[in-house]
Amino acid sequence: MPYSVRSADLRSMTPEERYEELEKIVNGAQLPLNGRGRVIAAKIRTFEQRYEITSAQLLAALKNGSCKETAEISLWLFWLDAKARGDR
Amino acid sequence: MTGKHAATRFSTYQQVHENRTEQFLREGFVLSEDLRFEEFGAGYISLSGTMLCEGGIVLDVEKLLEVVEGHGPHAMVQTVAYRYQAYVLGRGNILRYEGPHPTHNQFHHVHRYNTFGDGDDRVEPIETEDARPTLSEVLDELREFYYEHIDELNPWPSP
Repeated sequence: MPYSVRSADLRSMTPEERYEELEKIVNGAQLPLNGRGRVIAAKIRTFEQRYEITSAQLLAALKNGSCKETAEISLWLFWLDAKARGDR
Repeated sequence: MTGKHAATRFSTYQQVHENRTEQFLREGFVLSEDLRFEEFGAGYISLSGTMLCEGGIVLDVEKLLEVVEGHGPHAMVQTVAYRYQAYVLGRGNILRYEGPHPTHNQFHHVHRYNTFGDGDDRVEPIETEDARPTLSEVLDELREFYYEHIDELNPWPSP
């Protein structure tokens, strides 16, 4: 499970506690995607199943204008971008 | 990169983020928020969640910060991907700021919606780095939207 901390919780911490939390986040960020990669892949698969097209088909449809970039599709695109960055 | 989107220490980024968020909460425009910093992995930190604002305005935030140098809280980070999607609950979209896409809108841009009309959007390129808003600048813009449309957002005054 990727480590995370609520922004609101950070606001109520002492400087020392906050330092420790930020350190955990940065150190964890240096690790491979591992479980997070599977979560992102699952998010993308959910979009593909919902729309019944592959991500490659989505990108082609956006390029030729046969598909409109809705708010939901933009989230799909965000996760594709995140996955590509994580896979590099 | 220089300017407001230049790499900065993670501890500084977090502090500025918290200060601005607290200001919006204290003044009452932001009612609640559940944003989280998360170890994304592969050299990235994510900041994501939802901010609920006055007038039923909601802002969904997705950001990826790349750790470009260093370790610990003082590591240098830089925003490399972002998506700020704002809408009015039960009414429609307001705007969406986002970075370049791979096959269309291959530039920083904003979708602005005709929220109280047909709901259609127009895409405006963001030409300069300075014109690309920070999260708190998006909240500033949404606060202006709130005051401009306060009658439409709150059509049923309290008795």
